[in-house]
Amino acid sequence: MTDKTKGKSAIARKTRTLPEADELPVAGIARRGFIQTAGTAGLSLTMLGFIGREEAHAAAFKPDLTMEPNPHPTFGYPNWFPSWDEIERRAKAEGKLNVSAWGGPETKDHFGKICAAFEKASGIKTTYTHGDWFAAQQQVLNEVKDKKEQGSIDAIFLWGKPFSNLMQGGGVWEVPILDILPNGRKIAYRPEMGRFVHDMVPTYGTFVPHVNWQDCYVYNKKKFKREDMPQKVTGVLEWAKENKGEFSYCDVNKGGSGHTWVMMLIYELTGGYEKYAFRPFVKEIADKDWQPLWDYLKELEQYCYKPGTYPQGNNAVAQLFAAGEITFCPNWDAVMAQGVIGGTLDPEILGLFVPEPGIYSPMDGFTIPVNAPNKAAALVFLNYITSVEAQMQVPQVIGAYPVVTEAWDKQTDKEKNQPYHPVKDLRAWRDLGKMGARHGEYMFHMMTQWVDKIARKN
Amino acid sequence: MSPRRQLGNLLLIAPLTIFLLVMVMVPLVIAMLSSFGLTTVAPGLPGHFTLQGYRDFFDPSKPSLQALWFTFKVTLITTVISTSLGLGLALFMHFRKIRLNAALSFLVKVPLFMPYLVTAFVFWVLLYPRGYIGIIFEIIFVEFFRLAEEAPALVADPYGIAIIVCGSWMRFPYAFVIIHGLLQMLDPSLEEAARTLGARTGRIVRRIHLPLLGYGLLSAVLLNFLALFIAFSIPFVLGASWPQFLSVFVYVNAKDQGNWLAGYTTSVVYICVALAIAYFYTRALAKARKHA
Repeated sequence: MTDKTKGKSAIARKTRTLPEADELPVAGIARRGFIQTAGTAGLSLTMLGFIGREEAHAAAFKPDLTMEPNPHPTFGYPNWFPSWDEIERRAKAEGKLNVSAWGGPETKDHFGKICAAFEKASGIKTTYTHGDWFAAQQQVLNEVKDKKEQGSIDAIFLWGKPFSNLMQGGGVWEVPILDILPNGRKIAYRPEMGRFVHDMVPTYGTFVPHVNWQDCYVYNKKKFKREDMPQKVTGVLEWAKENKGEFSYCDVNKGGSGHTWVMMLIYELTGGYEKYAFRPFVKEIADKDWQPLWDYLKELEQYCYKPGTYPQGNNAVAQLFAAGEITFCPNWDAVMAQGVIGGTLDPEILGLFVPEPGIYSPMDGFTIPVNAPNKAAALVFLNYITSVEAQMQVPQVIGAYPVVTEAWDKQTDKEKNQPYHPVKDLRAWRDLGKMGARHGEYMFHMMTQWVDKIARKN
Repeated sequence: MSPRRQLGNLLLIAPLTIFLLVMVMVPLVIAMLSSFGLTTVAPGLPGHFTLQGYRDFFDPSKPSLQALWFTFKVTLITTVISTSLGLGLALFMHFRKIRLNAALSFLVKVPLFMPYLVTAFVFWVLLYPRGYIGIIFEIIFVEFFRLAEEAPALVADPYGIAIIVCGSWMRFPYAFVIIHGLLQMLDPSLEEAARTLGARTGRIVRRIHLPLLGYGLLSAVLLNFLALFIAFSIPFVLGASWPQFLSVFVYVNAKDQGNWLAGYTTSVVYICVALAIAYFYTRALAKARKHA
């Protein structure tokens, strides 16, 4: 049978099944009335959510700047374009995964647990290497340089500077992975949350944020009231003058709490956030406009704890605070959390808050190296660790904020009220509130200058 | 030795020699070339000849020379203290005729088996303001003698106090072991003769022991100096933001600040100074052998 005759007979069959117009059960309803009734019913059902539910949710942004899962089934993807189902199938076929991260013992514990859980859930053999960000970054860059097509890392955890180095060294798989991950939609659509930038390094979607460390003002609440403390980020100098020897911050080259805080001072003292945000690094700006920053820090030094000495790291500051040597310092929520969890810091003395307009803190996360041998497995892994269940572990184990706010909402009140979490309503404060990012390049420049300008005696 | 046997020996040691040459020489050559910007082994190296790294290093307004001077000063002080402690203890045991039994030997030699990093952290905990030594120091310095309103920092301090204390503890056993061994070999009749002639202990030490221990002492000094000069863990954990030990300075430049040219240049200068000390050390040993 030809196609033409096949078509004709199909039309004939269709025509035969239709009832004749004069046989329709009219029962007192006119055609116009029928159309009106059917239209009204359809609209009502749509409004009630019985019809067109999936499409409506997929198209709509939720008020918390996240999105519902994409309901489009696999048929929406042409054969040449991989659907998520296809990625999952390929991940299973790859069967293994190498994850590299760094951090303190709590971070090691976190990633160890999360990798084990992922292996159990997916059946993909996951090898976790806990090491040094620099060594991991160099490994990828060296492999890329040697044109090694099959590298040794599938997912690498990075802060801003190594991410910038990897991007500029051609070490990043330049695919917008954050937009591919179904769970990526659970992260609020804010540029600073890794969507556009990571420490102001453009991400092009190649970066998946995982943990939001928050730098805070830490004070001894047995000795001071919250209202006694500086409300603004630049208020430290005045406070330190009145409370000589009570304040310290860590060497900016040895701990992130120091350089993140000083980066915020740069924003506040040398021209405002807008001057730096989403703009390239210009050395002349730093050379020309940063004198107020150096003056501020030099003056502050006289009123600091043991002037001229700087604690060598976040933990060193936390230890001085716990020992009662200082009563005020900037430090990470996670560092203070470990003190409380480990029993080395009395939670009764721990007061913690974020001054105005904030201390813009990093959201470190993962990227997939360009030569990762198991890219599908890496995608599935990154999707897993961005799930609400996996993200719930971030505050519990690390003591920092998750990037998926739903995971914070589901924490128990006990967890939310721990003294090392500065903010209880994370959504209103972070996702829908004032947000900013550190500028990695300026921050890095400041770190190189700080020794000369502040620590080194001329 | 027959030529055949000589050839056999050469063949036997050749793999080890080649291995050592490659392992030692290749990094040295890379460091040397990189300091002139001639390689691209690390990001930021120019890949063409430049003297910028050396210009920066020897520019007095820049921090490199200050770091070198600080390293030299702290190492020298630590060497003097550690060697004096070792010498003093060895002489004390010699004059008091205290036998180095197993327990005492273990106690004295504990630092020999302690990893530098672990020891540095132990001293950090002891010396920081709420550590045992920190508290005792504060009581003596501030409360008892009232020398200042507050005790100076013992860790992360600009004078390198913690580095000196920890380094002295780590290195004094080396001096002790060398000097104690040499004292055992000295002819006791020399000391007995001096005593018979009315010499006091101080004079015996000055006129008999020190001249005879000279080369041993020199090798202990050089060994301690070299070990401390190139140390990393102790100054990294216990050092201040500034001045920095040269090893830490290299690390901060290269790793933290990505300034690999400065990192390699400082490394080459560092290696040259260390090799010069090593040369004097081997010469001292050779002379000692000659005199023995």
